[in-house]
Amino acid sequence: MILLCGIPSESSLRRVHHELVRQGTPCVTLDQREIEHINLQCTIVDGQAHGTLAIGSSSWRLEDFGGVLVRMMDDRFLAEIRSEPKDSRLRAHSRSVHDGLNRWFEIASARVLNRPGAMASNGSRPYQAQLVAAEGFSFPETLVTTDADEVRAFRARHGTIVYKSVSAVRSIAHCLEDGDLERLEAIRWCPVQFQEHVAGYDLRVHVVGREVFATAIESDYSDYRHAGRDAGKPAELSPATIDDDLAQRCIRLAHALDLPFAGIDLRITPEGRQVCFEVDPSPAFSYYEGHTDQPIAAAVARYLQTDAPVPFGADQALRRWRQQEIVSIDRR
Amino acid sequence: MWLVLCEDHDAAAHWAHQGLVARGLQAELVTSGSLGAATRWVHRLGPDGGELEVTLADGREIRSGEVRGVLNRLLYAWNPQIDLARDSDREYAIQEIHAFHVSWLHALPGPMLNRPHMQGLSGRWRSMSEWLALGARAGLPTRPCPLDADQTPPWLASPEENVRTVITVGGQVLGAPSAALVDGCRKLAELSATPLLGTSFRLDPLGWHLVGATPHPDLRLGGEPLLDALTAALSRNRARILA
Repeated sequence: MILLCGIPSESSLRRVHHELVRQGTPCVTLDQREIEHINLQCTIVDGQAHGTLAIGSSSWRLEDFGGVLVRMMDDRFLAEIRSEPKDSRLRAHSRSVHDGLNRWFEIASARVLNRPGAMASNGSRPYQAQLVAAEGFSFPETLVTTDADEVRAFRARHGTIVYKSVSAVRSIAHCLEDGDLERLEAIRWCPVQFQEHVAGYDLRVHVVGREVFATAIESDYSDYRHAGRDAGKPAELSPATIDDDLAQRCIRLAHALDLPFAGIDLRITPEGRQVCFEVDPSPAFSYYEGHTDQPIAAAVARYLQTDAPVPFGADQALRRWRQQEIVSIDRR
Repeated sequence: MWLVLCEDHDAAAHWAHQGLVARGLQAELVTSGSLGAATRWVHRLGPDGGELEVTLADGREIRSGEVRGVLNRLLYAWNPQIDLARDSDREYAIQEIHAFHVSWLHALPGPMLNRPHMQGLSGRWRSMSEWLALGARAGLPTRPCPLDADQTPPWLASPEENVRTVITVGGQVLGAPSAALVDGCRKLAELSATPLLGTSFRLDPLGWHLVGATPHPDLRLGGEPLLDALTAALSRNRARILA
């Protein structure tokens, strides 16, 4: 049985649900907006989670879920919660259930797309870039600083540079224009991230287990996701073919980050340099599938149903730890 | 130069710093307060790796090229400007500062105990239930534990009784009440990617069992042997310890 967690009307979740129903696979949808009627009871015994998930008058054993798709929003911003008083019973209940779910996602023996701890790496873009580089991918040269002179020197060296948030919040890239220089001194209050502008075409690669779906994106705007809104001309998407080497590297990267379901944002330069901007741990793949008919939802549904046992992320961490022990070189 | 990064009130870190200096390490104590008041930050990432330059308010400069190892016990990414931010911007500012700290910490070379994670500047924080689940996988004895943090398991009814803390430092296990626990403690540190790990055990009629773990143990519990292990782990001329 598969558990889908989030808002049922969210297009990516809805597509996976549709695929599971089409394939005749039993599935349960946990609608966050019904949080008042959701209860979770769980006990850890000898490292395994045992308990029940109750939604309204129905309940299921946690052990019966073989796959879980996690597409939950921050419960504080649910329409049913955000206007509640800080000490309300409903707000406390929501927090308790969501905390419990996130703990269960972390240790469940089911296939979880994706575990919360692994998803967290996306919360710091330069941190994630270092993890990406460790897997052999290039990333834009980056400067995070409070020093305006450093920014001027960085811009002089690279010509066009962009600035964007360090975290995943308000993450929209903007080119640093001449008019921005007047307020550059304001960065002394809080470090700001600047990156070299990388020219080329965008390639979004969705990894689902060992399946890969590459989508080429054409846009003149610095951040194609907002091209329609900000530049008045939406990006154009089309299915792309990538060679086996790149496909395998993307799979290895996703799995090295403990993200068997990931959206890898690449930019391919005219010289063929493959630059990775981000690994999205909760890709809104419906945008890409909707434009290209690439069967990503079907792949997610298949992955969730795979029978092979998947231990939770600790084994990945162990393998990376030991690999680093053997192969890393002290840079001094 | 070795760095001891910690909160201003972290007495165990101050103790460890003195111990490392006494053992010949040129160790600088840098608190989160001094980092928060730093006058200049430059963090570069490129094909040759990461670099950091920080100018602290007291004039000290930290340059990543001079760092040979780090005892990292930072808990909070603090910036005095956050309190001055508008309400609508404050949470954004907190996220930005935290994300920045995780990145520059991760970029520091040499052994680091512990490397940052987005869920903990000095190692990933986990719930008790997650530690017990990992501990069981590491081969440590555990007792049933509710997932819900608000529910106290019965064996925690008297938390101070018969509890012993074991500290693992770079693979060396100190203070284990039973030899049978040593391998499990070492493996738990590996599984959790937390080379400096405190694990707590409680004795009941069935024997010692795991009751919790933390990447932020009170180092003083390990005494001089811990300082020796810490010095050895931070002095190793070898691969970074990955978080």
